[in-house]
Amino acid sequence: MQPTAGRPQIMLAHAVAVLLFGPTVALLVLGVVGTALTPLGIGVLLLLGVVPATRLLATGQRSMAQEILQRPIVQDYVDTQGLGPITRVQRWAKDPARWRDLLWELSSITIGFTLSVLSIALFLYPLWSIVWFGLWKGLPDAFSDAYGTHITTTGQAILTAVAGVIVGSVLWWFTVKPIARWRFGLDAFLLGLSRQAVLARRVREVTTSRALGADAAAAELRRIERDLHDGAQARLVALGMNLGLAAELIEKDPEAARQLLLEARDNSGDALQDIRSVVRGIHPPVLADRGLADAIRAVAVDLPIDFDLDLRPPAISAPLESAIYFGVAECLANMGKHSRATSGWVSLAPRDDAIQVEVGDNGIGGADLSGSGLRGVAGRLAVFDGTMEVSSPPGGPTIVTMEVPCG
Amino acid sequence: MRVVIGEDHALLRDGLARILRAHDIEVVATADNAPSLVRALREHAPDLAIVDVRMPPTLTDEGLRVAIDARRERPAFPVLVLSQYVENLYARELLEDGAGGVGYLLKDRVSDVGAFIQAVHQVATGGTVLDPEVVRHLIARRPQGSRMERLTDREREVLGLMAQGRSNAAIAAALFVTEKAISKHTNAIFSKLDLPVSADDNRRVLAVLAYLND
Repeated sequence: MQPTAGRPQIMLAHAVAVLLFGPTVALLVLGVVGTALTPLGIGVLLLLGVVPATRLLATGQRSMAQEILQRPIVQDYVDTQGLGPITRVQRWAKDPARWRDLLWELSSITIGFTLSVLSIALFLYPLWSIVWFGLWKGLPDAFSDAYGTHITTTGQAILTAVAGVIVGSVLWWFTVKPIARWRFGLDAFLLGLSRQAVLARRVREVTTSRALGADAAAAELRRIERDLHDGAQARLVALGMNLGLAAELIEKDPEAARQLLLEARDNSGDALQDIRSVVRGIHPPVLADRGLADAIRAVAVDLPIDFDLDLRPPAISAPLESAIYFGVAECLANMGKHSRATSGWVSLAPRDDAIQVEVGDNGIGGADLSGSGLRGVAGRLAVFDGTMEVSSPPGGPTIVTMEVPCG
Repeated sequence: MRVVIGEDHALLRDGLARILRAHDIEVVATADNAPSLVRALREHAPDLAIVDVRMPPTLTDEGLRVAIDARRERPAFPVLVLSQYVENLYARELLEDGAGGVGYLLKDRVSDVGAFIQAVHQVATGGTVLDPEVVRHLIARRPQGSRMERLTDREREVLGLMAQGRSNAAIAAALFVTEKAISKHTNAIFSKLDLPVSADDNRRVLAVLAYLND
């Protein structure tokens, strides 16, 4: 059995749906009239108002159905932003989503409305039984009949009222969820993407995220190659040169040779330092040793900014841990370099089936989203279906939110 | 001898200049990117250019391309190319004109200062010096049906040492045989590779090129 929302929410949704009966009828009629009159200019004008209003109504119903059925219901409308009125209407005419909206209106005011009213009626029936009893008492002549049976004694009336309350309640209780599933299921069917469209959409998303991930990985490898080439490798070559020249000079000019050897020693230390920083860029030792929370803490303590850290990472896979670490590290590095912040905060906690990470500061804002750093982070997160949002108005504050599913 | 150095890493540029100067080789200009290297080569017309393969602006292979273009402008202009890693493809592109005066070495070879300075002189006088690493790859790879198949193992060994810029005397010393025996081998190599009779130096370059082209 599919899960649904609780009975109170269902009844509320039915009530809202019934209240929307009027607007739905109006929009359906206007939509049909507008479509019929499109050859005349007036139809186009009408549709320019009606179609967006229909979408608004459909969006409301969609979110209601989503709440009741507890599963996502999404629809892809063809984007018509910035188009002229005629082309816009032409696009709408070719967009299956708009036609499905229209079909939904029809189903909503017929089957949907009937089901909602039925459920509400069953809900109200026990109340009616009590009201009926009161009326029977007060106006015995008018309300002595119940279900075609002539009721003469109070005992009979109580029995009838109690039977009505019990039967009504039981009927309502057991039908409310199936009726809701039918009603909102039909809405979801008409308002949402078909199963095939959902899968196609998913494939598109995966294709994009895979490309982003591949880009991020390639850029990462290129960066590592560069770092080694310009850093440790070059220093080791220089070290070799110094040692070679020193070996030649050691007898002729011992002082110069000594100088070269000292330089060589410094070079070897620098080369080691370079290798360390490359290793840190691949997989930081502190992440390997102490996990995500301490690795983030280690980055934060290196910055001249006061941090408020709330790090509660759940158990997650190593690749995901690494992606989140580099995401946070990149944000913190940017904060240290560009934000001029004096205080910052990082929160990392599980939320539903995802990890939510927020990195913020009190700096000057205006973070550069097109920079390779943040784009790289987005690419790495996309591989895990993760998302990144950056809010950084000029003048600050900057808040970066990352959310990655980990269910 | 007047030399121009093209190397973007300051540490290595200074180290190279220091080694060359210590051996009475004049460094007339240094460049840290490809365009300024081209300018320096035109301006100073040096006897030799020592060039890093990877240089700004694109940090890919512009040093190599500058070297090849310079040799197109000034045929047989001696160029010693240095790199952090060696590719047979690059060696072949450098030698393609068959004019000699080409060196292609790993940067770490510089630390053997004596051998490096010797290579500098050899390239400046029209010799060919390939890194042992390039030669090792070539010996390991022996395609079927190639001209190389005609050579005996010993001849291939001699050719390998020749590619590293060794003279007959040096090859003889390395292989513990007489110089006469080596010159017999080199003649056999030249004729088996169908190389025309010409100056010995040029034939050595062509033999190495044949080796690379296989």
